[in-house]
Amino acid sequence: MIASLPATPAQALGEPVLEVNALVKHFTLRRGLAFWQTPPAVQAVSNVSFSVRRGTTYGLVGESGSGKSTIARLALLLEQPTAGEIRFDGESIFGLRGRALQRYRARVQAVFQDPSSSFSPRMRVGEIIGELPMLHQGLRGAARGKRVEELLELVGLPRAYAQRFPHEFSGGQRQRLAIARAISTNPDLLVLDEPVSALDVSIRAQVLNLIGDLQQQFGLTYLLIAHDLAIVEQVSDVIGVLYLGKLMEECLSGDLTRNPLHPYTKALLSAVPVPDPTRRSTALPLQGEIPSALNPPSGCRFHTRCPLVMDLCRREEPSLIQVLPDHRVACHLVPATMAEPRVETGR
Amino acid sequence: MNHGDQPPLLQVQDLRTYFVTRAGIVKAVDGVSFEVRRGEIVGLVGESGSGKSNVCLSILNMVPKPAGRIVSGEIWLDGTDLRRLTEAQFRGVRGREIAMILQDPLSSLNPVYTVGNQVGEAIQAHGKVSGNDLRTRVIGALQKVQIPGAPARLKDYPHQFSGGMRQRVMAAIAVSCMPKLLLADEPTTALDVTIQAQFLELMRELRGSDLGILYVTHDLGVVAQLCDRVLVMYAGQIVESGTVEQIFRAPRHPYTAALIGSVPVLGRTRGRLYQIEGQPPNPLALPEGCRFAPRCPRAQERCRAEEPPVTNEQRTAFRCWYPLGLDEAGALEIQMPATQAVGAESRERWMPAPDQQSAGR
Repeated sequence: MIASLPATPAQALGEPVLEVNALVKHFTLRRGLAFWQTPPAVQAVSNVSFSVRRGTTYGLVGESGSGKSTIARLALLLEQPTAGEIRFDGESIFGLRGRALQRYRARVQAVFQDPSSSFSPRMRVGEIIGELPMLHQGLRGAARGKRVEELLELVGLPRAYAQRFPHEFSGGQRQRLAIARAISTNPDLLVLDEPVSALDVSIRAQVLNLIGDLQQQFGLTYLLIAHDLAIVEQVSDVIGVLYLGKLMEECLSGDLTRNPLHPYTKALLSAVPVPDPTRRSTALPLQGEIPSALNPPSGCRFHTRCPLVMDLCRREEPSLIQVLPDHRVACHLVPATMAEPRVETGR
Repeated sequence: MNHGDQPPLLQVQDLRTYFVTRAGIVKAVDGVSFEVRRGEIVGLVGESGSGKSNVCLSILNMVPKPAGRIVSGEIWLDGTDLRRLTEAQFRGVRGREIAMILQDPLSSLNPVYTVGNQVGEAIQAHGKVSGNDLRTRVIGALQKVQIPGAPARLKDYPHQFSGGMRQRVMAAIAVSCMPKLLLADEPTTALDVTIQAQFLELMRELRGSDLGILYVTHDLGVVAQLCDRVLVMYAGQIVESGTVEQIFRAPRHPYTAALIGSVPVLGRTRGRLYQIEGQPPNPLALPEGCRFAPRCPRAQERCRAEEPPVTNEQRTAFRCWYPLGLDEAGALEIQMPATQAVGAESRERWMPAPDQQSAGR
């Protein structure tokens, strides 16, 4: 065991904890159809593969309808996939039953956008946070109370709050409670689905810092889902950019602004309003809207809005190719430009 | 009044809007003064509960009654004292002189009427138009906000539009009567970034030379990209106001500086964000003295005892006893993506404070 210490830079990030393999999720619609018609399907996630390494944060970023939350729900076993699999510590999670399933639920916990809707209003904080340690570790009575106090302290709340009800807390404090509950089972992986988007600017920084501190302290692995690029970049080690259920680009966090390769990533970056009036963007980044996932465009899913679209893009879907170490892109243009950096747009 | 200068389009003087609740009086807007000129976009920034939406409602005389009441203050629009208008007279102001766009278009639009119908209704409310003239004006309004294929979409219902297009319909209704002032209350908060960018572009085009826009938002990025001047609200008061360039380069109020410092910026090196400790004050129990003092790293005895007056300077005004100097606040650095890496120490330089724990880094 000791001999397998990380040696190469690729391994330095840690071994993969969560592996998503060719994941597909379609939601079938049935309403308002005659029996001879094939029901249409929303293609929420289409053949997505990535892996999250131990102790790191993988940030999934995308606009609405990109499938980012569906991936989170699949990882939490709240949905069953249409095809593909997710492996946790090498084992497929969709086949887990009984004890193994229970253990998985303890090792993978979640924090959602709106914590107030995930707390029972009739339970005191002590019961809310102490529930999972009781179920998974059998903690009761004084031992449970001690654990609750410990958890409250970890997320920066006074111990006395164990006696209060959820409605007595502000949004930021409630998100701290949700984090306390999530770490109460000593999980390996936390799925953070838009953890700060409902919070005020000044509270956002507090919660983001807390999330970072807990990761350092406990070596937690995060799968972060968010629509705000700046927040994803701030917290993540690796970033995956989703568009209409497809992974368009994946790179190390620092490369996102330094070397974005996919035209969609570039457009997304230029659409983010930068808090600096001396850097006003004048060009309109993207025309049109995200197409419907019921009937996604042929070929590259981005071709209807891409400023650099070629004939090939309409016909053939580009596959996600590794073009640089730790950098994968799904674009017909990119491998050409990588080989000959001087060629303008590769056309 | 100086006759050589054109008076501002909107002038708000010492506005106070209070809510009487069983638990006590909530001073939602407490002594707010500002102006909006023609062709100017003024950003109103603040966190939830800071009173920014109540400023808009007060201007429109739509503060929820009977709990809420404008206690004092003056609101002048283009030479008219809005506070002296009767409710019947005010009906001619809303829509025609002042229009508003809200955050959620789906709850502002009626689901059972077509979009053409609803835009037409707004036009008819302020003038006798009908038949083909009305149709032409509705199409014109939809085209002005760049809804593709406008004539074909008149008979569509709100649910057939995407979120971004619905917000454009709201903008079409707002500008259909050519108002002088547009109040936009978080219009892009529910939109995706690429759609938001399109909407911001539309705002820039709409303002033209005459329309004044008061743009309420919590997003400092939007302010920096869109606005000419900013008003920063905290606990019912404007704590700092000035030109966008001035506020982002050299904020004088510690709250403004902290707000700017706590926002993650794309391309800036990773690390801890500056965090403002604590929470905004309870509106029923506002602190003595400066309202930001309990959370302020620069607060002294005087801040906790005496409320700071408004200090007016050339391009800014702020409420602070110990403002940041122009030189020290100027250290705020925002890095261009794909350029030089900035060391970890630079992100701490934005707000030097005597007792800041990270000063040693």
